[in-house]
Amino acid sequence: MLSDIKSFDYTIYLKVILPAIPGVIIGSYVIELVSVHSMKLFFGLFLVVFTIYTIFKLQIPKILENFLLIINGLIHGLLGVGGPIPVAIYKNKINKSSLRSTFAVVFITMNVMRIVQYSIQKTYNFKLLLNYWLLPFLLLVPAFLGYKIHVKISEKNFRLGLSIILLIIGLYFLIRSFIAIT
Amino acid sequence: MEVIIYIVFILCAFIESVFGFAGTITALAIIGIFVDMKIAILLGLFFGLTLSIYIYCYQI
Repeated sequence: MLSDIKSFDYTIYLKVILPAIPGVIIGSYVIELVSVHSMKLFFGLFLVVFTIYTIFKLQIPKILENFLLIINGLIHGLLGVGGPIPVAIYKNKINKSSLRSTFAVVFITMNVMRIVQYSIQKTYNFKLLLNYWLLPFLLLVPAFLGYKIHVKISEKNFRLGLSIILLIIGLYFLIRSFIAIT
Repeated sequence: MEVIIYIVFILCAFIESVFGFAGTITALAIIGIFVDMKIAILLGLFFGLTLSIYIYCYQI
């Protein structure tokens, strides 16, 4: 575990974060303008695409990588789920420890940017989070246990099961928001 | 409702921590069914930020 601190990859961090910055700002801004139904429709679409990619293990063409990293910023700014695209691009290019520590910092950076943007726009009343003050303490247990077993578990069947659940939820969001919009 | 949200977040934290992906998406997908999507996104932000900090700290 102590050796993992050296595995943070600055080059990949900058390659992911720099194209994402404009998207994160725009996405965080747009959240005030779009309706809840449109957001659900977009999220449902994203879930379906994500699960199809996961189930069929599709490869992202190299020519699209930079474009998708820009789109990733937009998705993260809007919904906060900008993980799958950069992970899909870099998962075979760096080792698992490096991937975890580098992307943890990527998400911390993008989430702090969202908080700043939301605060400037006064999008949210952050006092709502006081109702969930226990969450950071409760998350300590799964975060620690997860690290302990992340190298021991076979993820093939689990990924498939999770993908099917997410596909069903994605289709649910798509259909419900489509009906609400039309 | 808060209890359901806590349980979902704990399970999804485990997923994210073990597999390094899909935790936040799963949490947002499930919680988005129960509460307003914009509130779910705020809770997802709180969840994602906390978990990223923990994962990075454990790596150190």
